Amino acid sequence: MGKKRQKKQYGRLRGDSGQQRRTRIVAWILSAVVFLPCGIQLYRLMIVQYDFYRQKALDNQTRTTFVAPARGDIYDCNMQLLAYNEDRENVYLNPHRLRQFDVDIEKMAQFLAPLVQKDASWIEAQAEDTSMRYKQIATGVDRETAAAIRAYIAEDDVDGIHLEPAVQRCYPYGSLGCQVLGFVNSSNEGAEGVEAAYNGFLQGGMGKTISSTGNNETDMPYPYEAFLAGKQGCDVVLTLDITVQACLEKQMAAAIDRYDVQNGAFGMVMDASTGAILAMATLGGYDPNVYNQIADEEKAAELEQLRQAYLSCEEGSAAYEEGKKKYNEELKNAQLKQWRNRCISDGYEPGSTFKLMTLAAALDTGAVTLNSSFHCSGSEHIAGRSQLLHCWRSTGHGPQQTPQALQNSCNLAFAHIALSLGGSRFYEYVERFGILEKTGIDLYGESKGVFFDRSIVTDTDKWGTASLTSGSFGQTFKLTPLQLVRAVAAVVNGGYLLEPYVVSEVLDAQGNTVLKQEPTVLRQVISEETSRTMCTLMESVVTQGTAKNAQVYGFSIGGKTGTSEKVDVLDESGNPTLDKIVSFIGVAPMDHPKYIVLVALDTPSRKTGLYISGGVMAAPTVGAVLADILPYLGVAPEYPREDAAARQITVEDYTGLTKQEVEQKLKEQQLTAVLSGTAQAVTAQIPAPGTVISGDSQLMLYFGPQPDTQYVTVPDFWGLNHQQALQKASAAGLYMLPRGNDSGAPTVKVTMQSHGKDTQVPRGTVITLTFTDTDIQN
Amino acid sequence: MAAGKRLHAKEDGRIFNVPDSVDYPFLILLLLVLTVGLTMLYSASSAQSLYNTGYKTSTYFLKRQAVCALLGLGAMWLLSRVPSDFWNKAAWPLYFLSIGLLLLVLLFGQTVNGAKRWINIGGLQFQPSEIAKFTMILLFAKLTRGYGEDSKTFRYGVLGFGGALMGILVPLALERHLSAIMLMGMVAVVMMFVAGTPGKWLLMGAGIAVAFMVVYVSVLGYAGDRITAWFHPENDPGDTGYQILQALYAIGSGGLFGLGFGMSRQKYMYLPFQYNDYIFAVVCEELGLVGALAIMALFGLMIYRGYQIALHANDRFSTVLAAGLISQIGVQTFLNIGVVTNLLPSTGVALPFFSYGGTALAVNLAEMGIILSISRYRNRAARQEDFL
Repeated sequence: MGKKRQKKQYGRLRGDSGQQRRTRIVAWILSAVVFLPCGIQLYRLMIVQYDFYRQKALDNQTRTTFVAPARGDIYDCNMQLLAYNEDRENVYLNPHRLRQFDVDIEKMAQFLAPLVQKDASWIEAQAEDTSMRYKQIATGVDRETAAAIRAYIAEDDVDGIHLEPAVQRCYPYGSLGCQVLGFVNSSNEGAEGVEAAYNGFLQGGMGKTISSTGNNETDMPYPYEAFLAGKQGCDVVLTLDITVQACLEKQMAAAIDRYDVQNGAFGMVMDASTGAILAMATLGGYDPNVYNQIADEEKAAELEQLRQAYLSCEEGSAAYEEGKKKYNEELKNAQLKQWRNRCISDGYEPGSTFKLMTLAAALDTGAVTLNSSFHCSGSEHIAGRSQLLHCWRSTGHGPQQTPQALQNSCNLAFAHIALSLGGSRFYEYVERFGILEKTGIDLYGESKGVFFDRSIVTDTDKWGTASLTSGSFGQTFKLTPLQLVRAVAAVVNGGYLLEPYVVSEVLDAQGNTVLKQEPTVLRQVISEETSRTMCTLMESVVTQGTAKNAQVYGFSIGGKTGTSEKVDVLDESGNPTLDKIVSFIGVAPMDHPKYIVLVALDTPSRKTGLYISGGVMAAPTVGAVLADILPYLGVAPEYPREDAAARQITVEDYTGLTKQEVEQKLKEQQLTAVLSGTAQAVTAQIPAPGTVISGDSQLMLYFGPQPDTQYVTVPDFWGLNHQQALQKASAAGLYMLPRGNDSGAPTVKVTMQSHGKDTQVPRGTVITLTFTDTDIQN
Repeated sequence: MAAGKRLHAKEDGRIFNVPDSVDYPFLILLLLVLTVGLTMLYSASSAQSLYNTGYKTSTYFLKRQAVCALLGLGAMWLLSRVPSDFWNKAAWPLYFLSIGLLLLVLLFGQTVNGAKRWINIGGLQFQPSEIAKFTMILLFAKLTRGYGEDSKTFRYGVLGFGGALMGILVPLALERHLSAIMLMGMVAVVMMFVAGTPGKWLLMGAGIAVAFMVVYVSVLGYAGDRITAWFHPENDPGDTGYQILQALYAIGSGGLFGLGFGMSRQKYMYLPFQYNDYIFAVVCEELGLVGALAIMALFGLMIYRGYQIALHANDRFSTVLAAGLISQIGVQTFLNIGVVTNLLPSTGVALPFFSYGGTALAVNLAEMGIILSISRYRNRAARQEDFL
């Protein structure tokens, strides 16, 4: 008791010196000592390391925004716009902010998913990934989508979704010329084609804006802003003519359809005198506006199946991962395939088209002359060649001179031509024709094919003559389509090997020329005289040889067919599939060769029943291309024969003319017409002005009220000759426009008509009929 | 002794019958700290208020804080007139009340920023841990008075105080309120030292506390990253090191004289918690080294004056109570500035009278009222020799 009281008493005393002392210690520690290290630390940070932290803070507080300048446009040679920019918006998430404002991520993802075409779960994952300040969830959404997202932000008061202006590259012609144009990838860099090769020009210089901003992207009230102007991208003008490109692709697509071509087609049109590419196409392409999508519907469906297959597996399971990997691999391969420009990237066996170079070399060196004679018995043992050499025609071509050898595309004759030329001269010319080197075209991804080593063709003692003789008619080696076209250009243009190009001019934003491509002659391969001879020979191939189907009314065409077997493509059992690439390289006009057209069809189906050869399939395709483009390119037609059947006329406008004036005019134009009605002047006419019809057609001119449009049924023209077709057409009340082979030979028949039989068309419609010499094989 | 008698006579009187004026130097220093604190709070919180709340005004945080400051000043005035005997009697009931409140938080508390520390009573949100800090100090003062010289024994000096401390720390640990645990632990050590608990036990206790903290931190996980970020904030600038780096940028870019009042850049949403835990970084950025040291000096003077009041209190209970209350301010100030300047790992302790937080401000001011009340009963003789 006493003790407790005493303790209490003690507690009320102030005199405990120990406690006073201890309190003083604590007082000094907490009011002064602890602030000492704090003060020292502050001195270190604020004085010693001031410059360091000031710089850090400045970097931290300023935003450098790169302002991508407008990418340059791409034009064709007539300044038709092929690629331009459109304003779109990118969508970003700010994960920190979404979290800070407790945004309902799931709901947001559900809303955004259909708008940006992504999985909601993927968007959720992006929204929760706080390792980044911003996560981009959509690229280039259009204005309506952006407006919908803005409305959602405003309505639900969501904080953390950002929209930023972005440009979308647009290609108004879709897949037309896609591999040449290329596309711009998601980082706004040119990938593939001209977009890649001229990216440096198109892209321009980045602009920079440095501004002080708060971490919530609002500007601070302390203005600090610097602006470094960017340089607008240059415009690029192509040598490509989009009309020519469209004609080429249209005819190639038609050929794929007609001959059930399995593996696509490639082709191009080149200016033989300059090396400028007017058109370059690899069918089975893509739409550069949506370059990642597989354009081939069959392949796309197949890929979708693969995707669904793995998605149906449990996520994360082995089957799922494997399926996903396979899908991604297949997708990537399909993309690479559709992006690939086969004209410059892939070698193929040129087959008989290469005979042009062999013959040009032989004529140029004098190894053979036009009068050299050859005999073809269908097959022959050649010294130094173990295999029996077969000609494509097993019954043989009999005795031939040089022109017939080319017209017949006789392999045996060319084997002998190569032997006369000799291995080293053959190799030398192959080299001079640019077969061993890249053409140097201004596009990325060019390859150069595969040719024999020099000794294989020159050292015939060691290696025999097999490679030399096979090489003479374009087999057992590969070159790119562009190498072939360039070599043929040299054959016909006087012997000059050119550097091909697709861009003619680069213009800056003010329209000044930054770069101008001039035709580049690398060397003269053959003499002008040899070249002229070759032109004559090539024309005879079309008029008398294997390429009769390439004939175009009114134009002189030359060329050479080719059919090559793909010996290196094996089927499942390891045997060569013997799939064929049929091709034709055509030149026009022959008096002054200007345009070279190559079309190659990869693996026409055997099901069509047609003989698979360049003469039957590729020659009429090239003929159709030339028929389309030559008038467009301003090549004046000449009519070698005076009969009306060979003539094509463009119908003039007769309305308003009196009967007398009409008769006068018809006489001048050597036309006939049925005149009906009693009025003073022509009130209506069939066909309409501007229509192209056969010169032996009859016009219908009405003097009086215009009759009601009558519909007639299109008859079947298949297998008719010119005369029969014309009669049938006029009987049906239709006009005929013949295309293709105009030799008038009895074997020339209609093989295609522009309007299907039994379709209803207005009276006076022009039906285009394609005539083909059905007897021609290679 | 005569003065003591006079005081004693009045001590028996009613609440509003006070013997002497409060200690004006302490009051003036306190009001200075509060004024500067509110001014800096306005600057530091303006950007956050303007951009990150729906209010579109720069004064949202200032207004709320000012209301709490007024409430706090009212409480201070009131408590400055309550003799310390009242607290001596109320110590145990208040202690158990605060434990009860802490347990209520665990059951019905509100979760803010992932921690369950708030409780809502009649629409008013407050942190019972703020009350608990006070009641712990109160109880320690009462125990000190009761134990007397026994404080130097293990039984009273360690087990007695330790048991009282645990009653508060255990519910706080369940709340995962690490910063409050640290703060109270340190205040407890200071008070036990003042009471007379031998240094060896305190050192041992500190050792155990550190060991316990290591386990606690590794169990909680999230706190471990803070330690790594403390040493190398630049290694993970995007995440764990972000806060510290942003604070260092703010402090370092202040330089000798700062960017000027209101001119902080880092407060524009770069520096997290720029208006509460990291307000001192904004002070450094705006007022520079000179301003920062001046404010630290202000704190130091105020704290020193608080201890002087404790030293000249009329009884042992008042001495230890005043020392405990001012120690809490001192420890908190040190912990906060230490963390903001990256001397210490991030803990989440607010800067008294500066940081945004209504409960804390009001409670701190009320506590200062108790110190002022104690200053009314000071020993006049001692005042002459020690106070001036």
